[in-house]
Amino acid sequence: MSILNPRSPAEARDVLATLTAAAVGVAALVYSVNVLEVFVPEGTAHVLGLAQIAGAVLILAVYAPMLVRLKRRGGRPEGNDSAGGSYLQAVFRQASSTAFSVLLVVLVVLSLLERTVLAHLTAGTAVDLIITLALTVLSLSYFFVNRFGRLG
Amino acid sequence: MGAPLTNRIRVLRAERHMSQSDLAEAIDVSRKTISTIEVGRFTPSTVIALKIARYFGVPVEDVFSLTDDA
Repeated sequence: MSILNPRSPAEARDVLATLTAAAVGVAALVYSVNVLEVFVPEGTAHVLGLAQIAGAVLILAVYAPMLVRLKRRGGRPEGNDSAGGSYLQAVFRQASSTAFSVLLVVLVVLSLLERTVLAHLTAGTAVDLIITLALTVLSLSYFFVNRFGRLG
Repeated sequence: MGAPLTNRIRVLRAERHMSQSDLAEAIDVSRKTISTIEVGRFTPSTVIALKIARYFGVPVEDVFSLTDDA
């Protein structure tokens, strides 16, 4: 099966789920740069800024056109599958659930560590940190569950 | 933990000389969905289970069964 030319609408939906998880991973890297820039020297921050732009361009120039192409091939939004869901769509749901649970735990821990952690971060950096964690966990857990998971 | 679900999809396919891709295309799911169901990594939805049974022309109990009836 080709990523650009899936054999059927069902394959297109699977490719769409995997591409979305990969794009979420790239978006996590883009957000992580905002956090890292606070802790690194200015020269390094400049390089990281370029990497951030590259990541954003990758999403816009590669993922977005493929998203449109796969939708035209029959890929439907996750969870809107009349067949009741394919394996990879179930993996995506599982990854989303895991990411939400981890995010809740992180938020609780951060609220407990308010004086020691949050006091050293600006509000913007704290938000970027939380978004980075949520996106990273979603992307990683998708590929982990896809490789090792048992669903159902 | 629920009782493990076993299935006879591989046998039913072999009897009809079908590939996983053929079956996947016939019931509008991906080949990966069929392969993960076959090896027991993925418990399919009721809709997919019924589609598979209908495609083979057998009751769903002939395709899927529980390994223990606890």
